[in-house]
Amino acid sequence: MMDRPRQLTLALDASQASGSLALFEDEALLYASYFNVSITHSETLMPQLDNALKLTGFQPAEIGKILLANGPGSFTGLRIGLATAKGIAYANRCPLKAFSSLQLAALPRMNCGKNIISVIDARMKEVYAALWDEELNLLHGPEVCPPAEILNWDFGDAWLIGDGSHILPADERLKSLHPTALGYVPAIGLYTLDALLGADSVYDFDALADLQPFYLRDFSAQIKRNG
Amino acid sequence: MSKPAYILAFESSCDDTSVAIVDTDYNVLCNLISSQKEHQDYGGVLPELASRLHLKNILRLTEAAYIKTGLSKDDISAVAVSINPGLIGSLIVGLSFAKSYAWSLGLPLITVNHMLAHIFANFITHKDIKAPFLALVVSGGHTELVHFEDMLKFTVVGKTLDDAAGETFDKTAKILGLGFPGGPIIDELAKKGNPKAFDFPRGLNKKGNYNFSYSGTKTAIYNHILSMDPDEREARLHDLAASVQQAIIDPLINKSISWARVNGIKDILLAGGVAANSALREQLGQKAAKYGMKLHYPGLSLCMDNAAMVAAAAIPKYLTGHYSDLNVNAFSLKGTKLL
Repeated sequence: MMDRPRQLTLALDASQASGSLALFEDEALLYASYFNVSITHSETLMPQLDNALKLTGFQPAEIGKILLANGPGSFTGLRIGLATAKGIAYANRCPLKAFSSLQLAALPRMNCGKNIISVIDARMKEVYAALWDEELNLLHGPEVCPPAEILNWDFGDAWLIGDGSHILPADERLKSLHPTALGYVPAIGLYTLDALLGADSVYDFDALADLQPFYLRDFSAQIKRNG
Repeated sequence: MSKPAYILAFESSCDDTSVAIVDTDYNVLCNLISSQKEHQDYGGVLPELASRLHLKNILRLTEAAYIKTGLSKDDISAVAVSINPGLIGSLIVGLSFAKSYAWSLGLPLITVNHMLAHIFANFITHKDIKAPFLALVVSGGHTELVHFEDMLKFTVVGKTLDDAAGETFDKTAKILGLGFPGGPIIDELAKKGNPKAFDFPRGLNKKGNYNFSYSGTKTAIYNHILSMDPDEREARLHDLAASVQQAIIDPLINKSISWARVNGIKDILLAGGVAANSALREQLGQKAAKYGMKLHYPGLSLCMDNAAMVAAAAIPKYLTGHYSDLNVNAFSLKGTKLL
C-alpha cells in the first residue's frame, strides 16, 4: 500500500496584540506557540515559525497549506500576518485560507446552545463585533462600532466572548463566562474552523494576490478622528 | 569568470511599490514600479493607505518580474529589501513578504538602508566606479556627505543640522503655489532665470565645515517672497526660481568639492531625488572636472524610489555574506546606515 503524502498545515495569527501559530501534520497537532510580548510581530513571527519547523524536523518548502486569522484587528499586525503568509504560499505554491478573527474568537462557545457575540477591542473607543448562531453562521455584522451599540442588536440570549468583552456595558442578557481567560483563541483553533467550516482549496495565484486583510475600518478613520 | 547571481529586491519605503531582479554585475533585468496615485486626492502621502496599497501590489509585481525576465524562483540567489528610513508601516509590508519568501525558498535575506541604495543606484549606470569615493545624498529628507573607504565601510562626514535641501525646494514651491514636488518645477523655471538676481544666504559657509544648514536660507527666501508684490512675484518668477536654486545648490557643490580635494578623492557620486536637478548635475560636474575629479549620477529613472537600487546596495553584502537574521525589523530613523 502506498503511503499518503504527509500534509503539513501552518496556522497563523498576527491580527491581535498577541500572536500564535500551530503546525499540523495531517490531523495531528505537532507544535503550537502563543506569544504575548511587547515586541512587534515583525520581529517575533518569523523566528517563531523558523523554530517551529526546526523543532518538528520539517523544511519550509514542505508547508502545504496555510490557515490565517485575517482580521479585523491591528492594521499593522494584519499586514504582517498576511504578507508573511503570502510569501510562503507564493514560494510553495500552496493554498492560503483566510478566516475571520471574530469567528475564531467565537469558537470556544460553538454548539453551547446560544447565539454568540464575539468582540475584539478596536481602540478609539470602538469594538469590532459580530453575532453568530451556535453553529458559527453569521447573523449580524461584522461591524466596528461603539460598544454600547451592540446592546441594540437582536441577539436574544447570547454568549459574549472575545478580548473586547470587558468594554461592553453590563447587560443581563449577556452571559459572559471568564472573558479574560477566553479572550484570545490561538491559531490552533483555525484548524478546527477549517475542518468544520472550510471548503476545499487549491493554490490559485489570482486569489492569493487579491487577498487583502479584513480591515473593517476605513483607512481614513484616523484622519477623521483627528479632524 | 563565474556566472553572475540574481538578486530579487523589494522597495516599499514610501508610496512606490517596486520589485526588481538585478544580477551581481549590476545588470538590471527588470525594475517594476507601481506608483500610488491614490494619495493625490489627499494632498500628501497617507501612511495607512500607502501600507494597504503596498500589500495589494507586491505579489502581482513579483509575479510580473518573473514573467518579464523569464526567470523562475529557482534562478534567484538572494532576496533584498529596504528596511529604513521610511514610513514604518510601508517598510514592514515589504520586509514581511521578503522575509517569509526568502525563508521558504531557503535563500539569504539582505536588508538595505534606503539612502544607501540611492547611492548604489550609481553602480547600475556606471559599473566601473571603484572605492574610495564621496557620495552626496540629497533628497526631501536628507542632505549628507558620505565617504566610502570601500563598498561596505563608510563614514558620514557632513550632514544637515536642520532642514534638507529637497525640503527647501518643496517649501519654496509651496509658498509660490507651484505644486509638489518643488525640485523639478523650480529646476524648469530656473532655466530661464538669472541665478544672481536675488541674493539669499548660504548656511555654514565657513571653510572646513562640511555640515549643511538650510533653515536660514529657507526663512530668507520665505520672507523675501512674502515681501514681494504679487505682480512682481509673477513677473520675476524665473529669476526667483534660479536664485533660490543657486542658494540651495551652492553649499552642496562647494562642500563636496572641498572635502574631496582635501581628502584626495577622485570620484563623487550624486544620489537621491535632488540628484535629478539639472543645475546641480551641470555645475558640480564642471567644478569636479576643473579639479581632476569625476562626477557620477544615476540615470533619471533611477533617482526615484525603486527596487533596482536596493538590489545594487545588496550586491556587496551578498558577495561578502552579510545576511540578515529573521528577527530583523524595519525602522524609520533618518540617515545613511549600514544595516
